Amino acid sequence: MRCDDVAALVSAAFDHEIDSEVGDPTEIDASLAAMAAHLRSCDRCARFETELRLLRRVLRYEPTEMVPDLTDEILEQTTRRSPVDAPVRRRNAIRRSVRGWLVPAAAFVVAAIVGATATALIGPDGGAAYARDLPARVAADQHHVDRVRTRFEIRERGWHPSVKRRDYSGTLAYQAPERLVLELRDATEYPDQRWRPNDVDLIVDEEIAWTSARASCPLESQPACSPRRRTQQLIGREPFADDASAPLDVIVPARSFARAGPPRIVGTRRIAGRSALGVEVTAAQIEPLLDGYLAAGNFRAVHPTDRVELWLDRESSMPLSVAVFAAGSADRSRWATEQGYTDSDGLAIVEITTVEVDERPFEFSPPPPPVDASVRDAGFDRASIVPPARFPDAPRTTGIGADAVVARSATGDRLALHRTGTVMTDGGPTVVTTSFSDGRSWVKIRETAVWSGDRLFGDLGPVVRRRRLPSIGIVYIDERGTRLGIHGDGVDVEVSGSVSESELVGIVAQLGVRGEPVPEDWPEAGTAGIADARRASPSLLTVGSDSGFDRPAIRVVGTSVTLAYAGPGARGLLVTEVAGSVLGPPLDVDARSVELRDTVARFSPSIGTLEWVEEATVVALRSETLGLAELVTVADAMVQA
Amino acid sequence: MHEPDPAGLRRAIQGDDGEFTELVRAYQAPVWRFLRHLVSDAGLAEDLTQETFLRVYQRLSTYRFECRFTTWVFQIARNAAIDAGRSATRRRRLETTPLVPTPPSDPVQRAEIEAALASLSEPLRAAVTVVEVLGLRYREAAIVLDIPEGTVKSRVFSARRELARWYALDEEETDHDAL
Repeated sequence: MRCDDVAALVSAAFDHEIDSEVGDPTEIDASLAAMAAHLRSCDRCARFETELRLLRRVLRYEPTEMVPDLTDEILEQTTRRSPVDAPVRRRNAIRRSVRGWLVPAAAFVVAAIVGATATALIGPDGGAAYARDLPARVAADQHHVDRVRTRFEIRERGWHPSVKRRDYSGTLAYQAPERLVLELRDATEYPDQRWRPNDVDLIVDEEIAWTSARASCPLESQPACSPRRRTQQLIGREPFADDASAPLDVIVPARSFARAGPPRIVGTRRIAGRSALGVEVTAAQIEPLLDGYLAAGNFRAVHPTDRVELWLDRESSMPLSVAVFAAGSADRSRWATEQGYTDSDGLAIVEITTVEVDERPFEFSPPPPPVDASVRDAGFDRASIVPPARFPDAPRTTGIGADAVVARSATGDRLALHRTGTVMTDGGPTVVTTSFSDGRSWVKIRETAVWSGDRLFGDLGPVVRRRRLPSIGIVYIDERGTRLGIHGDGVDVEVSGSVSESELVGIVAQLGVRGEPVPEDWPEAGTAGIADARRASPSLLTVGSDSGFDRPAIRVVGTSVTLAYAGPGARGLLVTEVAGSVLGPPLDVDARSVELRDTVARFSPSIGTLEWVEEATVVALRSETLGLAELVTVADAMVQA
Repeated sequence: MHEPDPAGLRRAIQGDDGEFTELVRAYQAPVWRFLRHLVSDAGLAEDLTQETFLRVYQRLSTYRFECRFTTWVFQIARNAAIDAGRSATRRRRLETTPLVPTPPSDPVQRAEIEAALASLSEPLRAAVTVVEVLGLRYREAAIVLDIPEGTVKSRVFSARRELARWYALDEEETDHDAL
């Protein structure tokens, strides 16, 4: 392709105007593929594309000069006068007060600020302060939502070569803390009747949850592989269950912003009549949010490094718009090829847009499941009364009950007692479950006096942190800081929730349970602190504190140290350091060398691992949610502990 | 760009001044930004913004939902600018060395890009302003500018090439597309 032809195609593709052209989709795909290939080899055209992005950023998103507030003058000429032709009074004749000036505005509509509305605006610093506060703001806003209904639309591109684009309309009804109905209806015009609509129903109503959708299946097997919808129903669902969980991040994306650093602000606009703030994140970070819409049903996949523009309601932090754009890395292209996708760099592959928000009171009335639903009983039996001492023979009193435990949010609001009861499963221990909630936020306490497992009670994962706290003893914490485990004398307790780690620790402190070290043969016995890790590996490297990851959970086995770092959403990183002077044989035929830290490392894309030798230590970084560029950035910034 | 709530818009059409006030508050800023880029004069953009909404107020009863409301408003704004006699023929080039691309918050770079935008011919500047600044689709931009959709596409591309040339490290002559 000639450079002029490529530049014209880049310009149209940048505006997402390629798929609106009349033409053979196969020819369009071929042109886009040729364009992408040309961009990889032509610096001039690649620079043109970069310059387009800069232009977009400067002209559309960045704060500009002061935008005058002409509302009063306009209304003076129109509604406050008789509706006759009247000349516009020129500006020199009009006295404006300083109050009438808007602060620098992004390109999209600025929220109405005239009057008493206390909406914060992006200031002259381009939103840096707002960005710093956003994660805390999102965490706080989960306490403030009670109920909401929305209508939204989804556009999906690249799901199948024969179906370029699919369109859905949807409704969402939510009543705090865990009653939710999400219904998607497929409005796509398919090539023929073999293709079945991808309708999805997702209902969570406390003890009951069900989904009705077509199963996802490999692209090459479509459309024959999903002929009918299947309905799966869960009864006896315990509060805030991990399986059949309510996708609460579609209401307030608390998980997607927990432990998050300041995101990049892309601008402000109005969506569905609400003032929205746009931020740029990755698909991995908002995986809990995307899964809420796309986990059930026969949808395409997105890559963890795909770029996302997420627009949040500025008053409630509710996601109003999500746009996922195909990232442009070589590994992403390789993944797309393996999946059968032909995404061009920057293609909007998923767009979720709210069209209406209704916060008026409504009666939550979920539809009943189809009669042919397959039913599974999770064994939760709800109790209306929680006795203060549930295990009278135990050498301690738990005292877990509505009055004994005061769960408070970071703002001091009390979390109300939600559902309590017991879970009894075949062959499993009796587990008493107590839950609290405030809006969309929640805390759950699970306890059992008959734990006989060979690992810590609760689903904390293989690598945990250990803290010794006054009056509590030993507490084990998962790598995300969302679950705490206590191994006590005659009782094992798990505390989890959507609130911060420090708030969960505060709740643990009220339980009256003394945490002890786990037995030596439990995997959590290898949990170590940084000092232990340094003794095992004297040249221990750690990820920098400004890398976007929280402090790690550490496990030491002999001279092998494992550090598990968790970021927001699904972002995570595993670092292993073992004494050695050579790398093991490559496990990936596509492994390639990468220069970093004054040495040559090996990157194995199929297992997402970057490894090298430094000071007689084999260091490996492994992640399913970070691309090579980010791994190299993290590796270059590692420092000796 | 966000459309107004249809029910509120209908009430405004029927004479509800409160609803019209909400329309003004919602759209006067992007209309000003559009006109600001179009006429390259902040003061004139203010006058034209007022003129635009006066015309919107006077003609609101004629809006038939045949196109998006925002498209209709920007069409009125564009015509107001044309009526004010601001068809651009001026063209000036700064006597400065092209800058190396720097992070987007650089005010010098922003000033360069704004100056480059002002130096475009009026047809190119209008097209790229509507698409790049306002984010309208080509189809909607064609309605606002009263030109074919294909012309929108070619003018946006030509404008971008011109703008990119301002801060490219190497300059070379290329043929302009026919306007």
